[in-house]
Amino acid sequence: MKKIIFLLTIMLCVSCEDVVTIDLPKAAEQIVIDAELGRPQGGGMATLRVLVTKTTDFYSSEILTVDDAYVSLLYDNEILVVNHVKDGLYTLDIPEITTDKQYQLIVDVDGVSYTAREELVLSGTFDSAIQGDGQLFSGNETEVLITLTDLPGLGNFYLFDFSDNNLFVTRDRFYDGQPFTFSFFYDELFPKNEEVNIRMVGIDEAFFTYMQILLSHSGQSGGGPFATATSTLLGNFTSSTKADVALGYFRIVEYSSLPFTAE
Amino acid sequence: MRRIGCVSLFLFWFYLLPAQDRVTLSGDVSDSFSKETLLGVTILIPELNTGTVTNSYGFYSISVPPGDYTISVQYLGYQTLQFPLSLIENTKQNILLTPAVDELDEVVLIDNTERVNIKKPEMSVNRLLSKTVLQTPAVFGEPDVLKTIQLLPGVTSAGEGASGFNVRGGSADQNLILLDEATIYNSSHLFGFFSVFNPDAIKDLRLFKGGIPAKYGGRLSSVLNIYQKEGNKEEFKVNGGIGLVTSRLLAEGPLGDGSFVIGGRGTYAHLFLKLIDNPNSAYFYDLNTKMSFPINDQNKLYLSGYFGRDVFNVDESFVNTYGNAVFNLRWNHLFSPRLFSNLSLIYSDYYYGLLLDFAGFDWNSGIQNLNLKYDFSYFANDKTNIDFGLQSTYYTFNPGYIEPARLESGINAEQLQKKYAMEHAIYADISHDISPSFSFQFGLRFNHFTRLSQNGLFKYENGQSTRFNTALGIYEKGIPKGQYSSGKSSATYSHIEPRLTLSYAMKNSALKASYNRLNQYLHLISNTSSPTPLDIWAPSGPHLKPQQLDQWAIGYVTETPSQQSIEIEAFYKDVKNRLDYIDGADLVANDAVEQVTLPGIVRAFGTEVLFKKSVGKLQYWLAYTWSKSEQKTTGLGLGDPGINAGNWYPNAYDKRHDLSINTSYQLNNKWSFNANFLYQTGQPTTYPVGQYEFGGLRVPNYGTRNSSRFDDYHRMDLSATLKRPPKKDRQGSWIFGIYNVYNRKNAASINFRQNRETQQNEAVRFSIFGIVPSVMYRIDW
Repeated sequence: MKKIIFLLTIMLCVSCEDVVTIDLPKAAEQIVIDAELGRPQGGGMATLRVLVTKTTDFYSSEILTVDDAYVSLLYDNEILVVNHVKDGLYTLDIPEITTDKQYQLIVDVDGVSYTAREELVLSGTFDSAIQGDGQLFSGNETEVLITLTDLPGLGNFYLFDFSDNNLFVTRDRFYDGQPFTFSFFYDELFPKNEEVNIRMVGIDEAFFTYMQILLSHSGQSGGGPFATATSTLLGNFTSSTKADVALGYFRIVEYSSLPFTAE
Repeated sequence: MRRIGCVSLFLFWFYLLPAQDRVTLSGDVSDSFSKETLLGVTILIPELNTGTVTNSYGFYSISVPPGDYTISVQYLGYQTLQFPLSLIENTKQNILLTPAVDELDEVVLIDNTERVNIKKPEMSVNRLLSKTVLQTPAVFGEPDVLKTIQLLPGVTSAGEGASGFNVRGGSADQNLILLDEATIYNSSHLFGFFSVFNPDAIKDLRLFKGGIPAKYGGRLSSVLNIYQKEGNKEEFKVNGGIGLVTSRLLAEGPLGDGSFVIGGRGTYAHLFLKLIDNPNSAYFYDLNTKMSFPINDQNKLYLSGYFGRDVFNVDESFVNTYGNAVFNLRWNHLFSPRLFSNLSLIYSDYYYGLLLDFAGFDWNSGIQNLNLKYDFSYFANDKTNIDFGLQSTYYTFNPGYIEPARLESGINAEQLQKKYAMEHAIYADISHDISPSFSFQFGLRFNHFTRLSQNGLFKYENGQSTRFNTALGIYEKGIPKGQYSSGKSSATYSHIEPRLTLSYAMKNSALKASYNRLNQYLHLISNTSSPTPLDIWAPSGPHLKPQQLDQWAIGYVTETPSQQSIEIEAFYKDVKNRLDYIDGADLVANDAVEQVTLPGIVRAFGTEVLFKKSVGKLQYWLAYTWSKSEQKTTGLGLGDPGINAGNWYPNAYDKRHDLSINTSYQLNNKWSFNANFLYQTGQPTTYPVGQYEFGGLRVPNYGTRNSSRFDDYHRMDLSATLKRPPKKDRQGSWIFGIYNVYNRKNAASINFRQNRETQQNEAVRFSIFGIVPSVMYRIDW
């Protein structure tokens, strides 16, 4: 909701945004691990994708990838090696994942071992994604109406990837166990007559909180006079040494995708 | 308890002071034309080198030995009145003061009388007349109380788009804002562009930054007391202003033996958004009213009311409505010429409503209180006044009621747990002149706060509502372990608050010192640096502890006979139990905010200088403040790091330098000019120290909290007023203004993001107003 307030404020004085050059403080490089083990909603072949990178200077356009990491997944007392594909990406397919197991992801880089332990989080169903005719502020937005059916009694959280760097999180706080419809608005840059994939992922509360902060940090939902306090965002990796802390998150999820074409 | 015993003894002793050899002179002081009562008027008896001032109802009382005296009555902007009076018995003398004929004349006060105002044991108080507020240039030409207050020493704000104000490094929710003694919870319209106070309806305002009298309590940083006009008792008058953005109209006149005022103000609907071809609107309106009913010489009734709303409507899919409503019934009663009393019954309500059609829900929340106060002033003799009284407040907090906006929206209706609390206080304040030069004010206030029983209040493992996850190095919500049974969910806090101000007067100057302790039982649940309309108030309880402040201040004030004054003050503040929030705390619709908070401590210190000339053609004040305000949040004491590794860090209200200049120059009877200049050190903020990629997004990586600062804030505003020649009963004036003359782009925020088109990271400064010219036409008839 703070996002909306902020947008309103922008509307109040549409011309007062300008790009400025600010001399920013620098910090030492840190490892960043973006890891998802996911299966289609309801079950099926699961895929583990691990992207290992390093933090860089804020103004740098390059992202430094780490291609010499040793990535492995531990469960059922078995260690599986996750294969390096390219540009810091490591993948592995797993025939079946279940809610009764713990999965441990281990990433070894430069003699430091980063570990995260998670369990599978179940998701509600993604029913439909259809275009609406609603408008928001500029009058040039594209509205997409999303309907999902929540699982009752669990306290579910969802991450939506609307493509084109549009991410959104929601929780069933007020629609537990119900079919629920909400609108998302693409801005005027969103391409028309081009099919995109909308991906819904069931997540847990810890990752929901993590994503909320991450989205506000990335300028997706905010800044502005109503910005919340910001500071270093830590995920769920522990480190074998105290001095090295990895950023990023390992989550185990169920996902569903639907195609969407704006007209 | 022993301390309370001492006080009652003390009070008793004063009561026994021989009174039979003294006679009492008392009455009201009013404007001779409108009969509007005047507050803070000085009444002097030069023969005895003593005097008094009128209270907030225009009443004065002074008891002296019988004799023949000269009575001298002085008030800024009015002709000084002197008359001989033979006081043989108790005398009631109502006094009428005539406004100074030619305001351009320098008012020279009679010499060799003592400066009653200077030697008063009162410090850290700033006073503004409605006239000053109306003259100060403002954005869109709409005069504004809060923007004028920010020109005073020790007062800052987070910038244009931020509501509220910060006093001596305190947060905005630590200000007690009273409109005719009723609490106002949100002082801003349109997210801080305007304040909720209609400047035409205001008579006088006073800001206590320290040395707060025992009569006031419940907020740590300041008390802003705003008095509404009672209305013209002689004739019906109307005045109004027509501006580009807002218009206002105020009518006042006699009503039986009393008077009334009714004022309304509003922005034009569709104002800001009309450029866009959308059925959107954003506007506010407010209504002020006050009526006075004198019953007889001993009794007066006052009725005050305020109602204001802001409405944002975006295509019916986002409708946001919020505002304050207050109602106040007061009864002034004189038990004797020496014992003045006021009984108030006050209802105050803040409502916040949000309809989000695209998310499918409708949200209503708010806070209400019902407040009963009985305040007494006993004017014992010419050296001693005693204020005492009782106050009781009942609070209802509604954090939110959510219901589906449409039948098919899928939202389950839900009432977030309502909370209830009671606050009682009893206080006494004695001000006494020990010798002609040395005087003191000593007060004690006893508070009793009860968080009333409710359902759904959690208990936690090891009593920890917030946990630290050692492995991941992050704070997490505590694990609820059952709930309090509804009878036991309550909590009680009792505090004694000493208040002391000392004053040592010399010829034209005085040295002052003060100490006060205050407790605050309400918390504004917000992790932004300035209040937003959807911020939620929560009472102290088993988990949230009351905030407690100790403040010490010393000061020096000097005044020349031509009314130039210099005030210098230094202060030190210590606050316990100031909440800070864990990273990523989600506060909206949170039924258990204790799970995301960490208690911290705050210290603030600084020096303020105020140089002022308030008579003559050229009037000005110059205020400079050097100060520091820091917070320390050490965590739970279990080897956890707290915030910023448990070190002191600047809080969002920390402004090292704060300079403001306000000048007005009256050229002739037609033209007058005003100028403001403001300079503040940039607000502390957190800048990224790097970036990384996650989920396909470029994410700035932030360092420690508040370790960087925005660029310094400064701007200059000008205005010119042209008075038209009066026609019949009508007087018109044009007010031309330029806000932010040199178009300074002050940052309200800096947003770090990836450019959607170039994919390059950039820092985007968001500033609210560039240069804003304005014109307003004002009519009085």
